[in-house]
Amino acid sequence: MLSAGAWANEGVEFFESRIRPVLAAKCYNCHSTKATKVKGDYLLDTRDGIRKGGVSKRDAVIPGDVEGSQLIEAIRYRNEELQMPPKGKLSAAEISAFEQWIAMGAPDPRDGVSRLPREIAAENHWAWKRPKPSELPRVKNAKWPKDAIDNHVLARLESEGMYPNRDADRRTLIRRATLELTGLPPSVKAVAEFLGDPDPTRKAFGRVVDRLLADQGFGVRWGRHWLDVARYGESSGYSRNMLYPYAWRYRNWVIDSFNDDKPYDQFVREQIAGDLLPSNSYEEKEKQILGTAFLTVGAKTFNEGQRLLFDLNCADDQIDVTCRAFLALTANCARCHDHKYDPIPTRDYYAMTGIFMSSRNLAGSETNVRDEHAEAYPLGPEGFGILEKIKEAKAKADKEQAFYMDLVKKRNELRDPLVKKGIDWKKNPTPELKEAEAKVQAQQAVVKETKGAIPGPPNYAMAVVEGLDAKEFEAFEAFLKTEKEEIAEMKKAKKRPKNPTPERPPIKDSPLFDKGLHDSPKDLVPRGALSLFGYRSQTIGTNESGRLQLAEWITDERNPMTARVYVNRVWHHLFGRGLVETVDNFGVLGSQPSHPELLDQLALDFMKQGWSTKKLVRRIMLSRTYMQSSAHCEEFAAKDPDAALRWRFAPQLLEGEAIRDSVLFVSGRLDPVHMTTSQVEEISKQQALGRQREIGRRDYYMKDVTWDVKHRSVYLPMTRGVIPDMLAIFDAADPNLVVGARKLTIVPTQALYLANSAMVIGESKHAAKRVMAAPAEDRIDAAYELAYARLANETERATLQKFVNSAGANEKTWSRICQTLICSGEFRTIY
Amino acid sequence: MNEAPPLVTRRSALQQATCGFGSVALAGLMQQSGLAAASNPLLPKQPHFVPRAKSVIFLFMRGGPSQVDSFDYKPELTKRHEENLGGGRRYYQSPWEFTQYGQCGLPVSSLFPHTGRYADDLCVINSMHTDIGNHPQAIVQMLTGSFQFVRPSVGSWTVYGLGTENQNLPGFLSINSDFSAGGARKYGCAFLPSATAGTAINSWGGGDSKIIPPALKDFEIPHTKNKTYTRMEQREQLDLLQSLNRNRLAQDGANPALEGIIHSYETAFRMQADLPDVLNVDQEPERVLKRYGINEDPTDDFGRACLTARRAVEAGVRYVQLNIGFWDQHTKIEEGHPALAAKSDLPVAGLIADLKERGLFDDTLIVWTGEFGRPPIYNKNNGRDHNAEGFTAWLAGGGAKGGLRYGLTDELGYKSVEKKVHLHDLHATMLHILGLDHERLTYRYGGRDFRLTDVHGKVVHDLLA
Repeated sequence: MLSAGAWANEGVEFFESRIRPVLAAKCYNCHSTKATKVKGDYLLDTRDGIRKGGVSKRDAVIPGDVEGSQLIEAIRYRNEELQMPPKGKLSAAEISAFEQWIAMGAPDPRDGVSRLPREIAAENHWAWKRPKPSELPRVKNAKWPKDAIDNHVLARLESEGMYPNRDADRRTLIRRATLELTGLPPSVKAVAEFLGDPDPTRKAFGRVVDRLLADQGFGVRWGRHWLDVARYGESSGYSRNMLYPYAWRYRNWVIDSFNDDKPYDQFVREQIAGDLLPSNSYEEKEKQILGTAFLTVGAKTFNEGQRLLFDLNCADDQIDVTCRAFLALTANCARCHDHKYDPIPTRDYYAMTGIFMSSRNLAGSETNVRDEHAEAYPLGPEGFGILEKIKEAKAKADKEQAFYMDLVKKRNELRDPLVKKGIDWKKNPTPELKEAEAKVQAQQAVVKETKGAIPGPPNYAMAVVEGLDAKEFEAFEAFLKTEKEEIAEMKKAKKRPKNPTPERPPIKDSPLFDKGLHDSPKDLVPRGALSLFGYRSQTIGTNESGRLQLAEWITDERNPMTARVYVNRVWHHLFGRGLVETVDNFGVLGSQPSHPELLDQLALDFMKQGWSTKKLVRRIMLSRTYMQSSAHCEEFAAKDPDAALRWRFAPQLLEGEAIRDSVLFVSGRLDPVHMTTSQVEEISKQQALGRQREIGRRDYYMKDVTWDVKHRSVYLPMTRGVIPDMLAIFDAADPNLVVGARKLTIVPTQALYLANSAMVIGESKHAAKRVMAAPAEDRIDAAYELAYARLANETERATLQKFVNSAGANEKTWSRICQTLICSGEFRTIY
Repeated sequence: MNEAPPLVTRRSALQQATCGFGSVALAGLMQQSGLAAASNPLLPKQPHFVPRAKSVIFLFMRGGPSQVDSFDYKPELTKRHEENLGGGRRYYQSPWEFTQYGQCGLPVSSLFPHTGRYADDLCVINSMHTDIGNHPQAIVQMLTGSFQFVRPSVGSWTVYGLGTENQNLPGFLSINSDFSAGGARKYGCAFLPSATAGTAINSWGGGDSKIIPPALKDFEIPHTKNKTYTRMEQREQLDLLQSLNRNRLAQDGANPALEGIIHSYETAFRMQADLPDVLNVDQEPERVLKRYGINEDPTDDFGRACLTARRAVEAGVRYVQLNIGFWDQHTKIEEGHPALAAKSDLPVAGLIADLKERGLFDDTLIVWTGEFGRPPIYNKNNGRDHNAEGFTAWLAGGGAKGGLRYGLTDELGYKSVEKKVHLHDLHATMLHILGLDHERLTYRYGGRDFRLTDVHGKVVHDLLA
């Protein structure tokens, strides 16, 4: 190899005269930043690039090592699968020049970092940049807009030579709003009130929206939207499907959060670090900690025998749901390799892994391998303290009981000789016996009292709390060691050993696992959030997992994604399609926003207004864009069939929950109860042995669960793999997946369900009774108002009248008519 | 959907349509307009290349049958018989005798004499291996490709890739599945359109081998029978419904979803007539029932499952998964294996015979496999434990090379050593036989393209006829 000085002169000269011309002529076409398509991710136009190689991950040029350099292997044409340049072998002189050059130490003056076009694109991706305020777009039809939303939408439509639809009529509006906000159709009374409101439509509609936002049904429906995203399920799924008895408390926490209009940033913080937020009372603390179940309500492979792999899989699920739900990022792609499209390096992934691995998952689910997940969070003023108290009180009671047994024994020793002699010892005791008996009696009272003083078992919740700090961990390890010895001794003595105390994770950084393999740990990565937004999470103390810092980082106003992703979710639920269509992926592979400035403006205003969901919903619903009719327009449909530009309110299909609940609403049999339990907890309580809480095991779950209940669908048991039939048929979100946008299908099994199920036929009979309460001539309208919140038109009236005439005006006929209305497309469409 | 869809044409077509409007015609219209994928993922699709089979019958032997006691004859094991391995474990020869069958001379144990008769049609893979020797994971991996993540089942991928030929029937049936070890995931669609999920027939809730699954006899698929109204009444009601729907459609001007709903009712009405018919095996002639061992003990249940599969495939169902088990004899394998073989051997042979007789054999791929195998070792309970490193599967029918014994385990039948076939390779090969390239059959979800075989899988061309 050349000396440093010579390198600069001779070497560079050699490179410039013999190497660069060949590269430029034969290689740059496919292997430079200027290439239209870079092949094999290999860039030859910098020193950095030519050396590090491409997808093969082998060093292409190793200075001084001719044989080891893959570039040489390629140009020599000896390996059939690697021959470069592909169009023809270089001349012998050229090849020898390359060999010589590498032997010299591959001198190369071309500085700079080699970056692939896709890497550059990823860095410039719109979503990583903070939302910008924009000026109100100017529109020709200045009278139309009622909100900045409308200016943005109209300006875009006008630029495409399109214009918005007419306003929707009041019946359509109230049905649309009621279904979207509560998941139920409007009552006949509510429709009449709205129709009779003398105020202008927008003002009157504002009152309707306010009323609906205050309705408990809002949390039921919008809570369910979030539960889809949070992959909420009441069992572990996967191969050993164990019940999660306390998952429902998270479900209710979500519903309540929407009803209370909890600011979204707080909603996020509580789900990631609710246990670490300041609180003024235990009730407040409890409310916050319930949110953390978000992290542990996902699916788990409970019979994974390798603890590390199991823990890594849990952390993976937590990273996935956190990044997808709040940031619409697919960060878990970086588990095995740097993210292929988004700037998320593997290091970032393991920085987050450390955070979650430093936390304790209290899933409250008995398992056969991973006992630590049997732990749950005890509710009540004392928190974990209650468990200590119970333990102490039990120990005390045991002690008193043992003392009692001693006294009994002593008494018996004095008593038995008398009994043998046939003396009635109670009537004629010896003085010693009398005294002993008195002691027994006294102690019996003490036993009763101490037993009575054992606090009852607390209620439990699913939660995530901090792992052990170094000191705690040391003490805990020591305890585990003695416990292990105890257990070993018990085993030796052939006694049934107690269940070992579950292992608890220490707070510590995670290594980077090469290629995602749990047996290839590399360097430790300091705990932290992702790096792609240009600001970092706050410093994480050695005794902190980092969840609090992660939560702060996500809800920081500098985070370009959090508010955008959420307002887009809200937009999606209201219009059936987001401004960004891929609601769970804002990365490079996601879709572009249809109205980028509008999205930014909504996000900025949302943060400014205190992250209030209800204000955001109200604002969008009172826009003229939302209040448009869904009327079809041949010309615009041809241009924009999905109404991505919002030239109309595009009709949407209802989800299974809303269909089921609407059927019960129409029949008048919907139970309005806000359930504060779940069948899953009830069923698992019946199981004397926690280890048997497996779905399918001994058949009990399926035997004990009742599907035929009349409350809102959100309260039905949602165990993984066994979800309510009706909801499965209508495309319920798979609780194993993060689902921001359900893919609703139209398949015959749905038609079969509506046409033949005992549920629909039965409820239709009840609906018929309600319809028949109206005078005969009003029944058709009564049925239409009930099912569709509108009156029948002439054709429909004639069709139904004909049916009644031929089938007879009896209850059976009306049952069949009501069922027909329920089966219809209109019933499950929001117009 | 960037071009203007022929809205008027389609709408008027529907308005003209009476109840008998053919689903095929509508399917055609919907496909032309690009609406098909959005509204009905089951419409038939073109494969990537010419397929060798059109449908699959997957005979899943839950629990893992022992290879050295079925299709992997190991004379060396006899020599090492009773060689002590400590802890009560010892090499143990198969307690069942092997006989050579067919022109190919395939050795088959006396547990499977009926299957043996079709030796020249079997493409036996002795060198199967999988990743994990634990039932729940291995079962889920065999049926979905992944034990770690929630992924669509093989049947769902197949239906997603090819659609199905009879719109009056589900594209994918799973018979006698259970809730344990992944539950509905074993025939679930994960992120694929929900219509590609398997329709469960007689699924049951016991992961415990002590629970006897309910009998297939008299089973009916939920919601396919209206117990309240006569067929005439239902037809009247359907006419009323469709007239209201069409009226609404006229008001809407155009509404692809509503058109899809109208279509779904017509299909459903036919499906409710056709599906019970497919499941009603009792209408088959006595001779056929006998061939499957139906109405006889102990073959009745699996016989019905096999005959249902044939009837389904004949009617255009794409994928049928049959489950029988639990072949998990850690204890007394000499009681457990014969009992299960007696239940399944005759029906499986009957299925082959029947498919041949009806000219369906060449269009149907049959796959017989467990989730893993068992070692050539007896434990102290005279049973065999789990073995992920070597097991046997066999293929028959469309595309599979009959009379072939492919790959090798070591001389004792423990580990797969030569021409190893991983379950990803089996999946890749199955898709290949159906005309699908496992690397091109992808679905974009959560920002990346997924496939059945993930980043693995190689088509084993040597297995193809």
